[in-house]
Amino acid sequence: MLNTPYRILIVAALCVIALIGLVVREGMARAAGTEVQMAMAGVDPRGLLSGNYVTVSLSEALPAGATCPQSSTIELDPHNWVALKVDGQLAHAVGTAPDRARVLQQAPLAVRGTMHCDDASPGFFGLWATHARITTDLGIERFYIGGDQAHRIDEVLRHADRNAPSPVNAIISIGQDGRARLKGLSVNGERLELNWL
Amino acid sequence: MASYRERVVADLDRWIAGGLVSADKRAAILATLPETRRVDAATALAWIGGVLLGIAALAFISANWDELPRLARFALVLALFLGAAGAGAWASSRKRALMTDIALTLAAILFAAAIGLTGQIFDIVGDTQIACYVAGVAAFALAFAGRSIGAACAALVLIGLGDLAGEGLGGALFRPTEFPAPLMTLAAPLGGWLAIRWRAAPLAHLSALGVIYAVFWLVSRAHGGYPLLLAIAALFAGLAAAARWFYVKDQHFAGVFYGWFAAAAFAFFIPAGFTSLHGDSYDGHGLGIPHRIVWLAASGGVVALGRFDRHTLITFIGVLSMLGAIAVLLSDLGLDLMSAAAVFLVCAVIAMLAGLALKRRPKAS
Repeated sequence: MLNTPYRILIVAALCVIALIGLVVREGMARAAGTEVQMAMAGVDPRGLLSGNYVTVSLSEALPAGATCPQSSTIELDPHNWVALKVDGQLAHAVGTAPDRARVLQQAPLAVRGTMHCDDASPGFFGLWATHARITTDLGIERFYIGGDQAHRIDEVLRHADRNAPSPVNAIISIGQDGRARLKGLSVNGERLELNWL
Repeated sequence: MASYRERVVADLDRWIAGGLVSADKRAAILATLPETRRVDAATALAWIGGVLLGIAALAFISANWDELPRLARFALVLALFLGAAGAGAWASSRKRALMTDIALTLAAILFAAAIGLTGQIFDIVGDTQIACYVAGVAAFALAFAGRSIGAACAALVLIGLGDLAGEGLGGALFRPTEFPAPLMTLAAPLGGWLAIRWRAAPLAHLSALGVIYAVFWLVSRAHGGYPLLLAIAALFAGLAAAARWFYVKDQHFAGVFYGWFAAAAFAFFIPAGFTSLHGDSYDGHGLGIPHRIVWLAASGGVVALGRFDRHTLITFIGVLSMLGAIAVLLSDLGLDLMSAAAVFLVCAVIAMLAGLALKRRPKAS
């Protein structure tokens, strides 16, 4: 039987190795995954920032007159998959299904997550009318960034037109396991990426 | 409150002064008594100092967090954890049990923080429940490695948080999770076994609460009626009886389990009287007055037992339960005072006859 001090050091070393292994594994999965960009929206401009992170809300307005896809769901099922279709620079959620095979019939990319769509609103005699809006939840909630950058992104999102393309996009890596991993943000075309430093 | 050893010392000195016991036997008699582990002021201050040191370190790091590169932040987090674990190993090599305990408790908390901070540093999406479970398992590993009561307590807390994580406090408790049962069903008995082995009262409190919580979780999903609740109440009454058996054998830490399991027995017995047979909506036709009478009688018995065993918590539970039983019984009887008088008279006669029988038993033998 090992002495107590050695037992403690072995357990501590195993814990450290596990954490390092997690970071390395996630880094490799992020680098090896398929990169896409998805539009972001402010969740609530007043509540967007808490500490030094940006809340990632993958939400985009559909073109005027467009309706919600048939396969959008209301219930949030953690086992769902979302179909992504890349159009130009951005990837768009086009539908959901309970398994990967069915999702791949809708679009070339499949990612674990949920999607729901809010129908268009005519507003009050055309005032405050909104387009249909698709919101996707891929498990990515926050992007940790320094205070100045976070405030800048907040300002950009706060002044963005909800019915126009978003100026801030999330750069996402979709791994072989279907999980989405955040690589960074694209703010008016400028890439803010995660790196080791 | 004076410990058993202190009371024996006082009594022994009085007997020696009265000439009943010879003074040269004093040391030998006291040597047969187990040493009482009490937290003195110095120990308490050491624990407080350890916790405040951890908070100070965290606050300092938080204030300078943004200026550090990611790898540096990660290295700092790991260094803090390894530092605490290393301090525990060093203290253990010097046979300083208290310092080892504090250092490993700090290490367990720092590792839990490290998991969360690693996810933040590298924007790794993770499951809060899995993170809490991993932190809890690591804390248990540190507890086993260094015989740390604090780390074992931290493990139970982390695993409990993991069970409740996911959809907010109570979300996992009242809605189905991906796991068939809370991890506390394994962690609490393990904590209880460690508490018995290490004679650790704080660990005994947490593991007893953990057992109760795990049983409650399972019962809430079983959708059983009053038979299930009565069975669980009987189970906890049996566990309380077993704990009492250790308690009266001078294993005083067992008093913790005794008290909590007695409380749990009532916690499941009382709702059984307001539950239908199959656990569906209560139509007012449950166990009725017989349940209330048994409730009242059991409460009186527990009060008597608590006084007999000099266990304050047991007495308190009995009194509280009795007050509830009386209030509910009066309500059930529709404040029919004549009926209430009859019921209480019967219970009073039974209690007095039981007391009389107990009093006469030593005289008969």
